[in-house]
Amino acid sequence: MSRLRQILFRLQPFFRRQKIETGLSDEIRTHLEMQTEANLAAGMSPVEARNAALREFGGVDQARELYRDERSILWLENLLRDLRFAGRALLKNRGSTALAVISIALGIGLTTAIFGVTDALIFRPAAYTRSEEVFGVSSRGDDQRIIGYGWRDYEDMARVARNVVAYQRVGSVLAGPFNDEVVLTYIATPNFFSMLGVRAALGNASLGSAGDGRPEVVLGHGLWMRRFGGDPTIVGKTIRLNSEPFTVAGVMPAAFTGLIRGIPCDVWIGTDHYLDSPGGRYERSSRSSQFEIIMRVPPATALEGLAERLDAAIRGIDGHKPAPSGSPGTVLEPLALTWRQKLVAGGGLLPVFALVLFVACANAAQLRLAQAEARKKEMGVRLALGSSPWRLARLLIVETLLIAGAGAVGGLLIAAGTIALLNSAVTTVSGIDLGLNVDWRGGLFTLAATLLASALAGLAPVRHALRLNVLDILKSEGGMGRLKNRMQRLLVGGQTAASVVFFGLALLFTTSFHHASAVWMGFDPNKTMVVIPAAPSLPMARSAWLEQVSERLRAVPGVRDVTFARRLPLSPSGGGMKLRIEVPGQAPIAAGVNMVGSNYFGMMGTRLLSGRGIDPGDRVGAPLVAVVSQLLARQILGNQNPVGETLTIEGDRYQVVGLVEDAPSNDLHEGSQPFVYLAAAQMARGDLTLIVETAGAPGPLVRPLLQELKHFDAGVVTNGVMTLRQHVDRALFPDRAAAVITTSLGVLGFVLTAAGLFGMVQFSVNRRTREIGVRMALGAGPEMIQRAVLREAWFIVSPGVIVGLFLLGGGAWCCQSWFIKVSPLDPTAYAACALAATAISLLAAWLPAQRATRVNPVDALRAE
Amino acid sequence: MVKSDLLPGTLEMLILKALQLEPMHGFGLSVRLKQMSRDLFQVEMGSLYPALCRLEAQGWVNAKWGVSDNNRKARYYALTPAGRKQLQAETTQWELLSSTINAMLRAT
Repeated sequence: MSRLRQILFRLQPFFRRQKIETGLSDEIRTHLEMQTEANLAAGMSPVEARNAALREFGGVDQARELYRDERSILWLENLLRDLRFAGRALLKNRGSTALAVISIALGIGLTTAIFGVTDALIFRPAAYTRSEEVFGVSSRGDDQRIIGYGWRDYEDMARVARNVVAYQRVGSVLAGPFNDEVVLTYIATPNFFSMLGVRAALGNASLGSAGDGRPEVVLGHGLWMRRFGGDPTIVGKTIRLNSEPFTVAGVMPAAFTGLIRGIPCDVWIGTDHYLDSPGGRYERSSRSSQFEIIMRVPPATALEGLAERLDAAIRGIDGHKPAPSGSPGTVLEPLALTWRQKLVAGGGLLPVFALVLFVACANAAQLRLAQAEARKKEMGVRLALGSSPWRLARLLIVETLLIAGAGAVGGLLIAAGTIALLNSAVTTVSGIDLGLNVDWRGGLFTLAATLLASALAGLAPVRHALRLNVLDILKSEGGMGRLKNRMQRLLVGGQTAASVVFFGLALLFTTSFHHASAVWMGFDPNKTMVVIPAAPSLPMARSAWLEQVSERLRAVPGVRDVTFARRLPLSPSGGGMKLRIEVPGQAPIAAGVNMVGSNYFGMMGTRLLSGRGIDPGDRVGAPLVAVVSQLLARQILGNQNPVGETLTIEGDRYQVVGLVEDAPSNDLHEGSQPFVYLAAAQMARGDLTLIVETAGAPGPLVRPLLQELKHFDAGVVTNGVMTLRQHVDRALFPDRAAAVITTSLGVLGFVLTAAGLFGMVQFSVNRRTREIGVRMALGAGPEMIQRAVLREAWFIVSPGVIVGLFLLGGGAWCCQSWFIKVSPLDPTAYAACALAATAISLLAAWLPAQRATRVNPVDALRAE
Repeated sequence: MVKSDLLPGTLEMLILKALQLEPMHGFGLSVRLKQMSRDLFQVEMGSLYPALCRLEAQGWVNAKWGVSDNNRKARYYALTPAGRKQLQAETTQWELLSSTINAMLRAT
């Protein structure tokens, strides 16, 4: 208690300074007056009395100071004062300070972002307990392919060891009110969660039977938030997977998303139910490789012995499972990354962190040095007035800490923003949720980076200050010590080169992206359409289903027309299918294929060059028809019109009824391939995508269309419903991403380089103030001085630009397969780069050059 | 008159002792200390006021503004119960220390 009281007592001066000071003055004055009175009473004259009183008191000011020191917390007072001074000094040079803060913010932001990503992917410990004890059981065949296990194998293993878990990863269809979703499902033995030591965040992690007899299901956190809105009453409700009802037993915590990082599991169901269901019944007695097996091994267990026992269990006396030839049989491998692996990964990244941070700090240090150089008069005066060099150094350190602190805040914001962007980008494109976020480990990392940055950035000016010689400064003489000029030039030159490379790549990728958007995709991307991949469930003929669905959807208000296809061009999957076309007198051709509905080409905007597209008349029972692409036609028949010819595709004879233009099938970067279009109505099975053209904006019609579809076929499974525009954007995403990333890096690089260059040139100008004064006195005009400074900046930058252009050539050549209609040696891009680099360096050097011209030669020459 | 460099702790102990009878202001304290030491100790104000500050921080002494005999505004320092206890403890300690040292000096 008395400790607290003491602290409060000592904190008072920070808030009630005036009152305390006045109180002390009053007290001392009273004391002196009383002493004077006593002296007067003792017989001295008034003047003598007063002087004697003062003498007896001792030093008044000294007493005051000692009292003050005692009264408050000394180090805190000094710190606050230093902070005030530092703040003032930094604000005086706003531009320089801002550049230094930005440099450090960029450095810390980038490294924290990189750290965040690697933390999520590599460093973060697995979300289950004692992950080093969990091992995967596997065996590999001759070709190093992993051979899985069947249920019987699991039973055998579970007999000889404890804590053995088997699971499968499958996709299942989660039914929803409007559209269904394919969700990642783990079918796992009931001891899955207990073995891993994972508890449910809501409800129970139980995979048996619920009270109402239905099988239990456990939801993943992501699915719970996404699909059920984080409903806190979800436990006990029913969901339908693959049309079967399950009761929700619990929800997993956000930290546990399954056993593989980056691929979040959506639902868990139990093996008991699965092995009783019609779909899984046959697996009960099977040894085919459907399951993966993991187990928890108590520490200090011999792995080989255990592996042998497991192996023996499944091979068994009855020769259950033949051992794979030439392989060591069953092996146990750790499931999570070991700390050794993490160390290696971290060690690999350390140079990257170090480099980025170092460059940023070097720039900041350069700027600080320039400032220190400009303030050397001020420092000299302080030294002469009795300040110790350590005091000066402390001031500079506080300034650096302030800059580093501001930079850290900025850096955290940059990192958080970057990670958020990355998260959404990756999830949008691939559905993978990497779970990136800035958490306490990122914060800790940022703190360490900040301290490191302050140390690096602050050392130079502090060393500078400690070496100052008072007399020399006041006489405006003496160099501040030879600076390692070459190191600085190398740094700025290197940064220029890197910026040029990134900027050049940015130009190339952006041009490529624009070309990608303009590439003729084989259809009109501006059409207002809704794309509905669907899997029918009604037991009717495919063509009948298609006809009826098309009719119904056409009746929905706002719909212009409906057609269908196996898949849409530029879809992320399904594009590898090829059919074999026999041509007499030639080798058979493997052609890409799509099955389309009537009026497909018309609706999509694909150009029909000759003949017709697929008609409503092309249905089951009618003669088989095909539409060929230009390339295919040329390969089969040369320049002859293929319409009317007959093709043998996979053994069946088709009549060619039309010729269409070539178009990319999978992505915009591939060239053309020979392509054939068949009538979807004539195909009995396969994937299907409904294509609905709308009169107005397609977005609002998605729901009514799905509703109508469900009305007709309640069990239909739809997955990935979107508008045509969204589909095209998704296809364009990689190109856009590359352009955005390289542009950001290019801009960042240039900002950093400009900061570094600015600092360097400013420092040089400050150092040579006297020389500039001499020149001006000798008749040099301001333009000459300016030109000299700019020329010096150019000489620093130009080697960097040249090296950068060379590196750009190399980099662009490596990336050329990614470009669309852009040559890696595009002269415009290179010229633009060189120009940009020149412009930026001149801009960075402009202000110091201006300041140089404002040097007053008289002041500069005079010894003040 | 001997100007002594008292250890800070000793000065505080003496101040506590001086305040034992009644609250006093700074001047009064310096007079009392001189009196108690029979004119041998002259405490410098540069030591007295910081010492009073320390005592106040520890809570052994209370300070209040009051009016002196001559109608002057003065700050009066008074011993608190904790201060009395502290005085007792320090006195005992000092007596033990000084008797030990005396004995050691007298030994042959």
